[in-house]
Amino acid sequence: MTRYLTRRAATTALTLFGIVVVVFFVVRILPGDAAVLRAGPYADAARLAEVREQYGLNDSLLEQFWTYLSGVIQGDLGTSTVSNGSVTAELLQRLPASLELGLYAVFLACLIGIPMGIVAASRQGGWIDRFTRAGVIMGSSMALFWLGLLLIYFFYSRLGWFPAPIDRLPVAAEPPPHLTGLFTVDALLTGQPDLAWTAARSLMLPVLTLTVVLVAPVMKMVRQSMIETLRSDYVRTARAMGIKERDVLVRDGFRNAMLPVITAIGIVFGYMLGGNIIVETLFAWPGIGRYAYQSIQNNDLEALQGFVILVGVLYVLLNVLIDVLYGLVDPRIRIGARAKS
Amino acid sequence: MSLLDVRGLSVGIAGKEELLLRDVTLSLQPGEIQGVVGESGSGKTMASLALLGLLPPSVELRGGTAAIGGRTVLDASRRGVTRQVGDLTMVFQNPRGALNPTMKVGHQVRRVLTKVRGKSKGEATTETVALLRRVGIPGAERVAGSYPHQLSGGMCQRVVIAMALAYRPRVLIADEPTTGLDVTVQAQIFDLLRELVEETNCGVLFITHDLGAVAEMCDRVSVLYAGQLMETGTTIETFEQPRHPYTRFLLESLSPQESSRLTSTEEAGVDFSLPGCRFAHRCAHAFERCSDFPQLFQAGPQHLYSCFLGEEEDDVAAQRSQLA
Repeated sequence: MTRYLTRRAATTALTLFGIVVVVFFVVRILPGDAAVLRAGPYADAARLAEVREQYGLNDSLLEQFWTYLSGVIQGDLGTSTVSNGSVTAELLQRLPASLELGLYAVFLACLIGIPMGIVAASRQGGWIDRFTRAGVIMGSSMALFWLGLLLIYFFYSRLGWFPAPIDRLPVAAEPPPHLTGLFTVDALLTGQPDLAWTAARSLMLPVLTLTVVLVAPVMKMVRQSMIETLRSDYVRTARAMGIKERDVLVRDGFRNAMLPVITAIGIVFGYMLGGNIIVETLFAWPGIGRYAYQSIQNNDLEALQGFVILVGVLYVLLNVLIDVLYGLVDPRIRIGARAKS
Repeated sequence: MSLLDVRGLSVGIAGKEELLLRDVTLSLQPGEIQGVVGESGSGKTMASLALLGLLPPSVELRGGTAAIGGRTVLDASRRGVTRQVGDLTMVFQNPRGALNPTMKVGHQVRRVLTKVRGKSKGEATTETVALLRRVGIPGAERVAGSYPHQLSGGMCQRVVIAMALAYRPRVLIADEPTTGLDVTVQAQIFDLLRELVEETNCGVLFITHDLGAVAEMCDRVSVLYAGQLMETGTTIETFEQPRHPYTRFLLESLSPQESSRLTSTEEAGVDFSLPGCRFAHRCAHAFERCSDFPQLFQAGPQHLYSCFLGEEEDDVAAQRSQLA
């Protein structure tokens, strides 16, 4: 296990270094003078020189990179041009909002997608299977922004079932004290079920929008992987030995079909980390996706860099988690066990 | 009365006329090992899966009945397959693939005892180790806690056989149980199967390509070609006095100088839609009657074959003896 962790830490560091390099230099290639952006359009030459001096923009590119990199290593992602605040702090403050949205969407996608995939695979050609396949095509060809607009139009504007698609809570509501940063969880932990429900109602439409799109790859992967395992020799053996079909489906089928499913969920989650920009913008959701969108609009380069690096870190962590899950699910890839020749 | 009695078993691909198995008849006595031989695609495995009720979704029963110890386990026209615990089970080729890769092998044996045979956990755990020991696994307690990928192919096959023993079948189908295992292990598995038959008095259908193994292991042998039973009889009778041209061809193919006389099935292909004998278009002795489907003719008390040619020969022989 230690060997695995050391190796993993080394590759993680390397990956993150790569991300920082790419992000830093790509942003530098973009047109526009960083000093002008910071100082504002009406700054005079003296003010520009001052800004250049203050932010080290007169240093060589490599020196600037070194300064930025050492900052990143210490968790400092720079300063936002717009707010002049710490990018790290601003991102971390917005991260729980994104996580709450994403976790619910992925959880819901699994809750619907996994059983549907299993049933579809075990009764191929049945009506659940046909429904699932139609759902997969719909979900994977659905444009996120269009779906979001439709949902807002029908369920907010027309039917008024949900609160306005603005922010995590209606204006009148007071957010719960910060524990996990997930409003629904915090509200419940502090004994405010009403507030949790209010937060949940604000979550529903954006979560639903994301879920429709996320459920498709989950269902598709579960179905496909289950069909494959159900054709395997060990499933045939279990059936020949008289094991009941439900046990075969769960213990022989799904258990062995899980590996590709975990991969799929990982990919889905990663996709969501970046893809929620659209949903967060659409629903005025104060998460990191909307932060990234605003930083692009405001030419806030350090904020944008910070977002990309944060997503990179989360993605790498996610992959470590997936690796650990692999080991738990499949005894053939027990982490840390020495490979047999 | 025979232990296993299969009559007129036919299966076909759903939505198509052709039959993958046509009118197959088999019978097996308690304590008997019967070889089922034939080329790939001759329907050996398909027949077994039909009996177990494990046909792939695209294949359906078209006709026939099967009974074990007089009780119906398959009736195509009525309830399909109604196998009960302890009737029959199957040991497959590719033993490593036949075991669930994410379950300890001991658990795979134990769950047959608990979930299928309804034993208590404690009982089952003791019996699992005993079964693993019985099939010749050294250090059974330790092996019980291993995953299939940690065991050799031969060990995996022993585990599968232990699972089969846990099921206590009256009929065991062994589908090429030693394919892919090396020769010494092969011999050990054969010995094990023979011992188990002696101990439990179950009947074994031993599916194989290997005529040598049949000669060594089997009391009787059934020859299948393209889903049709060609000949069945005691191993000695069938091998020494084969009555069906296909059986002769199979036996001749064993000696190297003869093997080039007929094209292989892969080259010749099999037409499953032929109404008559499916071997006819490759048979050197084919004549006009072969476009009908030959019923089984009796060559001896236990020796049956499916060819008009033999009947003609028998007629000629009978006429001769009358003349004499």
